[in-house]
Amino acid sequence: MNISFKINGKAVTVDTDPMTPLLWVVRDELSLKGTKYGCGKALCGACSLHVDGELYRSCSLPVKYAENKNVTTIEGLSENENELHPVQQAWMDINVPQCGYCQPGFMMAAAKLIEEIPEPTDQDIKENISNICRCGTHPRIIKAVKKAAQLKQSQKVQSDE
Amino acid sequence: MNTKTGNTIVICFLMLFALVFSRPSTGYSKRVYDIPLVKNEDKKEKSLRAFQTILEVLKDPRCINCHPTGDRPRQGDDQHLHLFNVSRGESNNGGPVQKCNTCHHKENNNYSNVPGAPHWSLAPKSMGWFGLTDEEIAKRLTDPEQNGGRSPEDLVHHMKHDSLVLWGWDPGKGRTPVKVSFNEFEKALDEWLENGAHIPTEKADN
Ligand code: FES
Ligand code: FES
Repeated sequence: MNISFKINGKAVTVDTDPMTPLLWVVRDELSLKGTKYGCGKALCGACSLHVDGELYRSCSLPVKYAENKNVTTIEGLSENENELHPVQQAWMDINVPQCGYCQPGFMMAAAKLIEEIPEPTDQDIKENISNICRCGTHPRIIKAVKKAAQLKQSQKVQSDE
Repeated sequence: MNTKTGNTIVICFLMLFALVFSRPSTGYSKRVYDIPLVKNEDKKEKSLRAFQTILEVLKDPRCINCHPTGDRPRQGDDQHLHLFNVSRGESNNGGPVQKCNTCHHKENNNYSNVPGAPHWSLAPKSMGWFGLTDEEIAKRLTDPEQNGGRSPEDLVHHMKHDSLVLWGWDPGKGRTPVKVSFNEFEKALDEWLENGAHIPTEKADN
């Protein structure tokens, strides 16, 4: 079955079983390897991406639900290469990753979190991001989410001026 | 015996004969003669007995896990708190970042084995049953103030047809379906309603 949607702003059509997890369409059909396969069971969050601005674990999202929607993966998080998303900037500033495998998923969750909670506390971050990092980078992630929120706020102030 | 007495005996005999053999035929007789024999008390008992079967379904993990009295649903037959800090949120469908739909969709997912059904979400807090007594659950369930304005008829319709309720009998691989069969449940719902939709009430303290 043909299913059309936009991914990182680009229109695509894939011919696949509508129940195929979006994760496999993104990685194998569209060759965007930033979205990771961790557990395939909606447990770890490595496969997190956005569809129409909402956070999804793509290993548990049949591709049919992306039809006619806008999918954003880590590759499309920033508008362009010169303008990093606050989450990307903060991740670099705090030097968050260890092995890096879980990080795209965390970053997509973090991007959604700072949209919803502009000034997150530790508690907000712990309660609302349940991804797993086997390298134990969680303390740096908490710092980076807060920093990303600050960067986003200051960008907003600048653009309001 | 004089003629008058004889006539009286014959007349009495004929009346008795008429009374015995003029009873209406079976179907009709049942209606005419049985109704006064079914006391309201019997109906109430029937309704209450049926409600016990309904309660067994309501308290089954497949149903009550998503009817928490607090803000976190439960999972599994051991009814542990839902992993991933899942919370009710403002609209009973998760927090601001992680929603029920982050992982659950309209059908069971054969890839991730995440369960799903249309409008997958938590029951509203007023319909939270976890940890309540049978009487408390019954009261909440049937109170229109708390059940979204549903009459007993509406409740029965909801429980027989709602796709999220029906999911309980088709929960997907690795999950135990509701233990009472759906046929038994339907029968209990009908019996409960037809006999007055009675619910158990708290016994007064002595
Ligand atoms: S790969 Fe999707 S949650 Fe782990
Ligand atoms: S950085 Fe290695 S798993 Fe998270």
